[in-house]
Amino acid sequence: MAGNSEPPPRDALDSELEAITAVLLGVARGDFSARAQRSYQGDSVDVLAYLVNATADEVSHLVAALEAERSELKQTRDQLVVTAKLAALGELAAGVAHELNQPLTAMRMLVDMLRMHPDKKVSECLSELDTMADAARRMGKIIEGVRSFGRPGPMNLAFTPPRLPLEAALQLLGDSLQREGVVVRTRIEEDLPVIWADGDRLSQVLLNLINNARDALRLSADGNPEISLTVEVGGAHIVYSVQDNGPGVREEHVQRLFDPFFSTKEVGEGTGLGLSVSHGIVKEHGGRLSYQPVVDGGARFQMEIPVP
Amino acid sequence: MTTSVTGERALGVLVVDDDATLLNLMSLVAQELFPDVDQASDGHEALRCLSRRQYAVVLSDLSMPGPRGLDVLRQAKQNNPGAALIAVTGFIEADEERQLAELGAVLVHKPFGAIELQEVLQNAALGTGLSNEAAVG
Repeated sequence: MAGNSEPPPRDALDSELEAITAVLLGVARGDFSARAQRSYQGDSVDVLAYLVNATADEVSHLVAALEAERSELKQTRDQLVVTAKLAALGELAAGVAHELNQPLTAMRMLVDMLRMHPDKKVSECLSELDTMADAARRMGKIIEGVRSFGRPGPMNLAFTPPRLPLEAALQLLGDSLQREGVVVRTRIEEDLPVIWADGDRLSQVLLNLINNARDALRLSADGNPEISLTVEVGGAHIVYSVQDNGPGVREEHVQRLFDPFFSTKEVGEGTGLGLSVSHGIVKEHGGRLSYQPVVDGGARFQMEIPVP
Repeated sequence: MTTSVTGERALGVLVVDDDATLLNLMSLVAQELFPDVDQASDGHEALRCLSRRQYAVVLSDLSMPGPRGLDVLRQAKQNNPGAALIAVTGFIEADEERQLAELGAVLVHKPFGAIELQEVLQNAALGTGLSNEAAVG
């Protein structure tokens, strides 16, 4: 048996093994094109060459499939960001409509009132005109907030004072929370170091967390709904937290909180995208988004963004 | 139908809005029509006014912190079943709209103008026993 086939001479063996090694090295470097020359003798070196070639084939197919999947995932994620943003904007619609309607109504009424007194000189109407100008400015600010929030496109990183994203989110919410009877407590630590961040995206995350808190509070019968917002330093991070005194997240849901399309809201209410997209945004900033139950009920979400 | 019983104040008009500018403007429009206009800058204040006297017309914003416009209008109706109720709002949910209809309240959508509001107030005042003396005198 042993003498059936002569082993190839030493030099030939070396060069065959070298060729096989080259294929493996190529695979290790991410080049899947090289193949080892086979002798088709059925000896152990030939079998090895066959196995290495087959492995290179298989790995190259797997990697190509993975790459295709990854680019598809990236596309889907980009779409999710847009969808979640639109959903959040939709939730804001009532607040924005109210905020715009107040100054708009004031303007229409003032115009009517000035028309009723056509003999009045402009100099006698200065306070009315001031009120109209104020109303127009107020509307401009609201529209600016909505526009920067809805802006699509790549991350827009810049040195950002940490209070800005929260202030922008609050500006967009107007007093819609207070109108629902929710007490909002805001605490922003002074002299916070700047962060390297896309302020609009962080404000999208905060808005999403605040909207979730409001939805949770709607579910609880407690008569003193409250949302606490804080921005403070925690180690090498700026820590934003959004805490409510609602029912909290049920234990069996905690694991899935950040999964796409996971929602505890009623069908048609939530997209299940808010937290997963928020999670992605915070990760892109090198930060962390986490949930912590509050001892006496309620939920607390924490966003940590590294200080450069 | 006369409303001034001896020792009792005549029926008035109550205007409620938590937005100071709109409260002022709506009150100005109401004052051009009626002599006796009270203002309330939120739901609490409105309920206090309602506890003190009766109103022929109550004009209220719907979304306010604290007691909402619907609570105010409901109370006004309870105090004076003949009261004309007017709700102003920029955004209304179907359920709230149904409750307003049940109360018999008129709904005015923001943004509205002074002339529109004047007409609504005039129509609402018909049959409430409220005379628009201010317009006459």
